[in-house]
Amino acid sequence: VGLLVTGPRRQRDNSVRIPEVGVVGWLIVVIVVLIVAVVAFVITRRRRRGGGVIATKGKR
Amino acid sequence: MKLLMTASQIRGLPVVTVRGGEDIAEVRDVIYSAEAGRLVGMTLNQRGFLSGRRREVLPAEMIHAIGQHAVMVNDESELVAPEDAPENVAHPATERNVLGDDVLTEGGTSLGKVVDLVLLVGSNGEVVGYQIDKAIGGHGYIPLPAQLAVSGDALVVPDITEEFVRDDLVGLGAAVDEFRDRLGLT
Repeated sequence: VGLLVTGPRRQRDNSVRIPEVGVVGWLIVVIVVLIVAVVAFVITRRRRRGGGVIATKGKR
Repeated sequence: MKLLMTASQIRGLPVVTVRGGEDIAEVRDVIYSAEAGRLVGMTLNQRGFLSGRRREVLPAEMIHAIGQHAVMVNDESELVAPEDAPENVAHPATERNVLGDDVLTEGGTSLGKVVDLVLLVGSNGEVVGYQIDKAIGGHGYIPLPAQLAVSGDALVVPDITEEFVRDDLVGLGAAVDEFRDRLGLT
């Protein structure tokens, strides 16, 4: 299980290790995306819940 | 002495039924008619942190009482669909707002700008005064006659209003009756 690998690395036997995203890396990506989505949703919802005092006067 | 609160303090209050004690909605917009001198209704949110706007509105005549901690209605059927509600509640006009208007006495003295409405606690929406940003700085409260025609850019009040400008709601509560007595309105 690896983290996000930075780039191809030559191994001792001269083979090249292809960069890959490990389980933990994907987990971090998913968690970050979820946090951003929840924060955006809550902010939007709270704005929609706003209201105010509408004090209308008569027509001239 | 009258117990008073500002219209801004009503926003976010729960709407509770008198019969069942059920918490059915939350106040979103407070709608006031300057011509009538009273609230004409409220728009509502559903209850709960993430819930949205409620379609039904609450006309003032359906309100049992507006208290410090809740707006009381008899039961949930008092909430009205927009198509059955008065036009000024279902689709309130927002372009001619009293808030922000200058308050001038008949003698031409500027008392400040209107920033909020002051309501009688326990009524179903009687507005007895305005909160103002005083021309000399700071907040103040002025009492109003029961009805006041407002249509221009400034709110013109009787000269004696200047004597009744108060610094807090408690002071205004004591001043409202005396102000109306002086005007011969009671």
